[in-house]
Amino acid sequence: MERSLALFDIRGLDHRYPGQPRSALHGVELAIPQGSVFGLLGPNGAGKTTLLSILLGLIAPSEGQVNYRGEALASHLAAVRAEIGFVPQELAFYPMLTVQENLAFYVRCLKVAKPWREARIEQAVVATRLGDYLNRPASQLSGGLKRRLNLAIGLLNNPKVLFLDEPTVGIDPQSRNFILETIARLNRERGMSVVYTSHYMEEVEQLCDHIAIIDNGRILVQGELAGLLAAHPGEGSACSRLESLYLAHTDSALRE
Amino acid sequence: MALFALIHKELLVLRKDWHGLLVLFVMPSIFILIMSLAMRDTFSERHQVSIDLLIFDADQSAMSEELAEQLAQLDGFVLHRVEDLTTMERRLARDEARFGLVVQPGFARGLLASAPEQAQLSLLLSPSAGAQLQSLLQLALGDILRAMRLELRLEALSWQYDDLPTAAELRAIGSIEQRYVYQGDTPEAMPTSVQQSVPAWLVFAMFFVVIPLSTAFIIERQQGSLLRLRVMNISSTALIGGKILPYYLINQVQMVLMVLVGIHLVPLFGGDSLQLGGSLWGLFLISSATSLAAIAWALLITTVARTHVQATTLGGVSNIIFAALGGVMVPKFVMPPFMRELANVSPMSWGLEGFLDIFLRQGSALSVLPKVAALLGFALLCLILASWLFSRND
Repeated sequence: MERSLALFDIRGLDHRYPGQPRSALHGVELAIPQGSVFGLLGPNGAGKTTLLSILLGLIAPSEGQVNYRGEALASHLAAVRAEIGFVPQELAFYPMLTVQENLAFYVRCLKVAKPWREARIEQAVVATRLGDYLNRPASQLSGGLKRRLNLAIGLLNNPKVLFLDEPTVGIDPQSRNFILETIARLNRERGMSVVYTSHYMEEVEQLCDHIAIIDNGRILVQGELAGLLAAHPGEGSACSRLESLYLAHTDSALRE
Repeated sequence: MALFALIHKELLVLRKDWHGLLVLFVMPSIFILIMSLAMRDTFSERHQVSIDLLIFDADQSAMSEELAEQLAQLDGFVLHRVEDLTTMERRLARDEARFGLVVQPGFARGLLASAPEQAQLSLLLSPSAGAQLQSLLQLALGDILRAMRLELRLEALSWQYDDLPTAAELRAIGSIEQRYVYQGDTPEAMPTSVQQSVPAWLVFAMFFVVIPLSTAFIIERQQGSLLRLRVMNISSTALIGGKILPYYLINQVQMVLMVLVGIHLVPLFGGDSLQLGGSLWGLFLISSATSLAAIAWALLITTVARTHVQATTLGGVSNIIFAALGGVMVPKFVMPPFMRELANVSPMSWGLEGFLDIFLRQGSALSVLPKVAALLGFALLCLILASWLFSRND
């Protein structure tokens, strides 16, 4: 892929947290293609969260350059964030408020003009099928519905890029399947780019067209998923070969 | 505007948080009620102090009877006669009375002697007899004994002189006029326990916003809401402002509610009614400054603590220390001088003195300005520290 066409183009990225002896990221070179569903894989403590935080402009890297659509991220961060939807791993909403109150609060925070707010909420509710639960306190939702509300809030600004940090942790297969289908549909129908982190190989295999594997702060492998699997010798399903690829690069030793 | 959305959300969350509202509104109302009634006798003239004083008369003379009559007329003491020393000691040990006076045999003879060789009276104390009351009783006893001795001497001289004063004239002292001096012009006002309790527990309640505020903020941090809001381009200033304004409103509602409790609820239970005599502008100034100091302190605790258990512990303990030092739990006027000096390090003391300026001393807006300035300085310092820690850690 030509790097100038990348959605995110990351060059020579290093980051060390103050007071920490080791760098969290070392010389990261990465291109995230526009319109792709990009899977970022890595064990706990590999550097995924640090990399996501830098891409979201939450922390400034110690060294290196991050470009968004060919321009330095830091120079137009507010504009970039306006195009980004973020679904954190945690259930980032207010349990005491109803689904409707949560959505209404976040849509106002996004500075969506008043005439458009209802439409934006409706759009997110339809995409996540939360229509029957609008007046229910978020604390009383099931695990799957909570994950859907978390996703719905990330869709309120009608984003061009959706960041999802392990969005299916701790939910039943039906809810997981629904969330994966929703993400795939958004990518297919709206051309929404997706940056996705997960530990579930079958999810990545089902959803992502591009992946990168990160460990110890370094990108170990990146590229089109189909090409990487084809180049990786082995038998069995694509999912088991992806797992084999992952373990081959990150080693199978138990981590802290 | 995002700030209005944050304020609206905070008020919605608070409205649904019954536990938080109980802590903020019901707890101080109950404190005010209890403390106003418990301390009523310490302040009010209408309700006299009644301290039980036992007397055992082992002398059984006219002089000892005269002493008992004089003691029975002492303001604030209720005299009870007992038949023997053992009964007196048992009742004192059980704290059924604070003081016991034994009139020793030979009391009358000793009163006539120019230099008595042995103790005429023994004062026994219960474990709860305070030093101040003990001094008062000693003074009163000394006065009575001196008057009785003088009376006896004058009686001895009366055959030589016609115009000597009688015993009744000796005891009669001109009535002493007394009046309270206020900053304002309300001479009819009388300091009461409710006038002390409302400011004290109001300040305490205002600082208690640390519990709901820090808990809400830390849960937002742990649940990723703060992160999400920052990705939505919400500034740290808006996030902090979104906390300050709702809790400022809550503090002002607390102030109004506590004043209403003092005016209407305390009298229903037999206490005095709160009188508002000071400047309303002064009240607004000190209430606002105390609120901002309390909220800024809560925000600082929030940024220092990593979990809501830490925040609750830090906030709760610091509030109790501020309150104990600052004259909320123990009025400053009963503290020794060095503790009164130490009280000045507590921001609750600055707020309390400001409210007392208004409620008790009928002060003006001008009179509260030094306390307002100190509280705002404290608030500014806490906010600067909190903002720095917030941008560094979050």
